[in-house]
Amino acid sequence: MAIWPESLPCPRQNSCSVTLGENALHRTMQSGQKEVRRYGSAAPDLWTLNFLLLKAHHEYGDQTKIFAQFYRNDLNFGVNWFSAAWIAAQLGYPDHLAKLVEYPVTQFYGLSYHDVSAKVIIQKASAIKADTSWPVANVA
Amino acid sequence: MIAWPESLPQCPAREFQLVPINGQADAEEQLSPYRVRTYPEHSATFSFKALSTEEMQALRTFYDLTLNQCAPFTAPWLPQCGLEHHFCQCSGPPTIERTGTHWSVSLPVVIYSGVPMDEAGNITYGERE
Repeated sequence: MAIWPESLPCPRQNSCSVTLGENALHRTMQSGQKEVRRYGSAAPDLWTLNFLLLKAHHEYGDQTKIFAQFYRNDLNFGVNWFSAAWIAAQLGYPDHLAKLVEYPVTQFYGLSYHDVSAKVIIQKASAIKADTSWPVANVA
Repeated sequence: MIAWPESLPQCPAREFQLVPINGQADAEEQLSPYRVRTYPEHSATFSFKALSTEEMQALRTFYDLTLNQCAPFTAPWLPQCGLEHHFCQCSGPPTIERTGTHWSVSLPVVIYSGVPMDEAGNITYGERE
């Protein structure tokens, strides 16, 4: 299981939005009333988060490169789930894992920093199975 | 019936609108006059603002686990709106937004009518004031 590097920042607090997963089925009856019942619990919560990555962090150096390597190697371009301290500390989810969906969108701001917008799904760790690994040769 | 937890805000932001729905038994039927129901359902969206992360997660957990995303529940602010014998059911997942340093949660519900009863348990349905 991949772990969010300590050298990368947590999401920006003032720019995050969420679409909660809905596992309920709705049926409109003839009277107009709606019947609602739960069907499973697989739908995860979809968060849109922003990360401010510095090109020359005083301690960690080029955070944009660290993120690119983490996304490519550890997350396998978003296939693998990862754990992060900010999932519990900032978003309030205990015992949950996250996964990047879609390619992160990067906004360049000169040579100083990048603003990365990423869609992340968050789900209970107990509902997540082991990562899929493919035998790949000659991976740098 | 599940009651709204006391650990959550006891009243939403006072800027919601109650929209009556399903007031007519059959809107398509060509009867004159239309058959109407005394207590139609209402749709509303209750907003809770300036919540901390813990309160936001408590509300989300109440919707996801306690209510199981579909169970009806009673709310303490409904009697103040003139809906003494009514209860709610979520019509969709809550919408969560970040507003500055806090969270704002909007919960879409359908408000149903129960059976109006006095303290002795007698039905007061149909009484004129």
